[in-house]
Amino acid sequence: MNTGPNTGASPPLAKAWALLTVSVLTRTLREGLVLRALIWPALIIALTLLVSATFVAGLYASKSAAVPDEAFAEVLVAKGLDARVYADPEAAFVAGEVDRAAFEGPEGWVILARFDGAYTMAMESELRARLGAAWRPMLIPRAGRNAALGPTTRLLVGLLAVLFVLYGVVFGAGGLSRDQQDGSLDAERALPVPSWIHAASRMGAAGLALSVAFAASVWLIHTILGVSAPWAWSVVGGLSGLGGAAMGLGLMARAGRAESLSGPLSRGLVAVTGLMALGYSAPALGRHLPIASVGALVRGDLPGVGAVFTTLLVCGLAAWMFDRSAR
Amino acid sequence: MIRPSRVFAIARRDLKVVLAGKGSWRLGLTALALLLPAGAMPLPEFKTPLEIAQAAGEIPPALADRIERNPRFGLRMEGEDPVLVHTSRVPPPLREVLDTLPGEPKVRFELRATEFPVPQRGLLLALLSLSLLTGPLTESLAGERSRKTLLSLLTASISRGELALGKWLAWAGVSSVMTLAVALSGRVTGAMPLGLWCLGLPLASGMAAALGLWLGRDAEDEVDGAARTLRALPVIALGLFGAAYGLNMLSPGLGAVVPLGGALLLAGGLITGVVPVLGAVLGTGLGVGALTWSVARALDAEGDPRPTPALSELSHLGVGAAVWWLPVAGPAAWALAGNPDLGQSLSPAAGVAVGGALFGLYALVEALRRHWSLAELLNLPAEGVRSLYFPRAALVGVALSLSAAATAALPFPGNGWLYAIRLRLSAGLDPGWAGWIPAALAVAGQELMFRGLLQRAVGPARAGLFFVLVCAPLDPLRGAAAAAALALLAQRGGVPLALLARLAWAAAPESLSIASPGGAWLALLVAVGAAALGAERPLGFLGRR
Repeated sequence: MNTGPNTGASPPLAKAWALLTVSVLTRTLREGLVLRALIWPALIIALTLLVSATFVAGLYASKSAAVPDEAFAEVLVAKGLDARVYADPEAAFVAGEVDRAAFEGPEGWVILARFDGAYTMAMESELRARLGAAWRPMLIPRAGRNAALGPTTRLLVGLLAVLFVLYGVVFGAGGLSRDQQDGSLDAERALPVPSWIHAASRMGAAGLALSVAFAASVWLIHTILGVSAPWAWSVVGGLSGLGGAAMGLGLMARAGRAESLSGPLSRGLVAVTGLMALGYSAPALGRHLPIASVGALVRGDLPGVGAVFTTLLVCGLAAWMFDRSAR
Repeated sequence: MIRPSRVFAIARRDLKVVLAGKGSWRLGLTALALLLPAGAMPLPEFKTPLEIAQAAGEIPPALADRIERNPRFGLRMEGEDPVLVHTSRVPPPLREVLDTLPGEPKVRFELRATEFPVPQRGLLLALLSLSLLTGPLTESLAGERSRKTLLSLLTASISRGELALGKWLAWAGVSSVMTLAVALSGRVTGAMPLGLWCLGLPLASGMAAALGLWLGRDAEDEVDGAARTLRALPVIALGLFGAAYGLNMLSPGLGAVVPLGGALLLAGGLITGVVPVLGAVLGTGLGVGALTWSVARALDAEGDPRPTPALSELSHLGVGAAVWWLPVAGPAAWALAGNPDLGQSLSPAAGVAVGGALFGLYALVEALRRHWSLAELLNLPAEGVRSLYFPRAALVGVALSLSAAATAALPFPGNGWLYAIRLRLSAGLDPGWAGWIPAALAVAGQELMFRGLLQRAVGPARAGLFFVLVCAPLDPLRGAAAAAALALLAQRGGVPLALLARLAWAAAPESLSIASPGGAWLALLVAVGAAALGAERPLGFLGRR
């Protein structure tokens, strides 16, 4: 970036935009705070998922069962249980030697278990089958991937996308507010380039950082859980992050120096929430709008091409507000 | 020395500054919107799906009037003699109804699970009150620092302790008054009875105020302070609550001594009795004291201190391990948790590709932060790369590909979860099986991270150690040999030369692999020897940084 004296000669706009974008991006990423904010959410989600899985594994890992006869034990072993014959299965259960026990009591057969789950259900099912009971539970066989995971992963990634859109608003408004306060905005505006180029570079840098970080987060979760439509999420998240940054920048520029960060920030956050709600409740419309397309995709509606144009429109509006605030 | 009049003066001043103008309205309205519904509104009664006798499919006529038909419920009934109940869990109300079916014999099912006590609404109230404090606490200390008014306060005739305590008192007091007022209104509406649990509210508020001040003690401005508090306070609060809850499960009352955790247990009605309550007061009180003291000591600090080099290196290791282990080895956890189908539905090739891409991204961002050029990131030698090194790099790669059997040198269980993880991590070390694009992404990312970023930042020896710890922790000997060979190559030709070796390693057919461990070790020696050949000081790289 040319930091020499302002000679009045304008560099090509595309080159100026690219150089300023890299400069803003480098400045943004040099702040450990920003970098941590971009990295941690996905890592925490992924770690939480795996820690939960490990916890469940620890909780349900036991396959032990006490039964009164050899034939029943063999049936259960065939079902994957570690079933052994005990003279008094109830006593073995109470003593903590096993986590399941089946025995015939004075009022009929009894199954004791410390937790339910597939193995406990298999034991009950086999016992009821042996006894010819009036009903028996049957474990639903899993046929590949559980279809119910689709909405769950959409909701999970949708929540992450909301966070990144909010980051966008904070980056857009907070970055401008900080530069206004420390005077670096005035120095920036002294460069021989049109004022809107600064807005475009700020939005470009925020959009790039958010898009890449969000896409990385989506793909990380995808490898662990299998997100439905990861490409669509990457596009929608990137566009919405850019839309959020544009919104924050535009609102902060409109507020000017007369207002502190909190006013434009709260207006931006309210607008984001409203757009999300619109997208979720009216996905046919929301899929063509920035930020709202996140809500629409949570419902399963893929983004439309209109989302690109409306996001660019919001960016244009923000650049115009920024340009106007300089006059 | 702490003089109460000075402490109160600071508290009054803080409240006046932060709540000036619309500040008081904003805080009041937020408190009203957040706390009132949580504390004072009666909750509607609802039942979870497991509390209703409902089913899809063919409900036996004898039970039709007692089982609700719900075609969308994930439990399906079929047949009449016997009635088959397809489900993953039989809800207790349905079991009760099913047990009334005529016929013998009867089977009684008794679940003697560990009981996890459910906290009362007071816990929600206490947790919500923590989020209320984020804004004011940020403005209180970080705002003073950015407005440069902290300096004038530090030169006033008050001690650091009085300053920190005054700020703590202001916000602990405001939050306590608000939460207690909401608890009182909950008593009026009949939503919550008053009780000993109310004592948990001011305790939690006090500890949260101390924690918030401590988190933002060296923040440069409000944005920095708000981000720290927003991110860390809920995690710390939930973590301490979890720890206290766990300890309480081990021995009732023990969790009370955990700072903040004990206060939250008390607010949630999970501890009763004089001794545990005193423990909560004491534990949280000590926590408040320690944090406020630490804030007072940090008041002279100028902005965010840079992390120490050791911490920075550890963060590379931590991030590296997370971005590689999660996508590559993570899916193995589903099988352990009883859902192997989910793990099998995930593509291992995507795992290594994403892991590699994340390594590359991390290295690029770090290089950008350090203002490195691309040549610096790629560790290219100033004198250029001699052409004779390229065939040597290919030879190193082929030799490494022959060494798979060297894994057998260390005793290791042949099954179980550790074995599953080792298989996945070994597959990530030699990702040729994943196809060209995932394999290229994986090795390029690894080389950028370990032979590019880390070899330049922390030196070849530590970079190699990190490579073994992250990429081959369960096959350390082979990993160490590969790391040494690749580090030597990178010293001669930077990342491109090491990458060439990795691509040759990935491309070599598996059938070439030497079956005997002895032969495999010989291949590893050849790889390291070929990489070291011609070096002026073959082991000199260990000391270079």
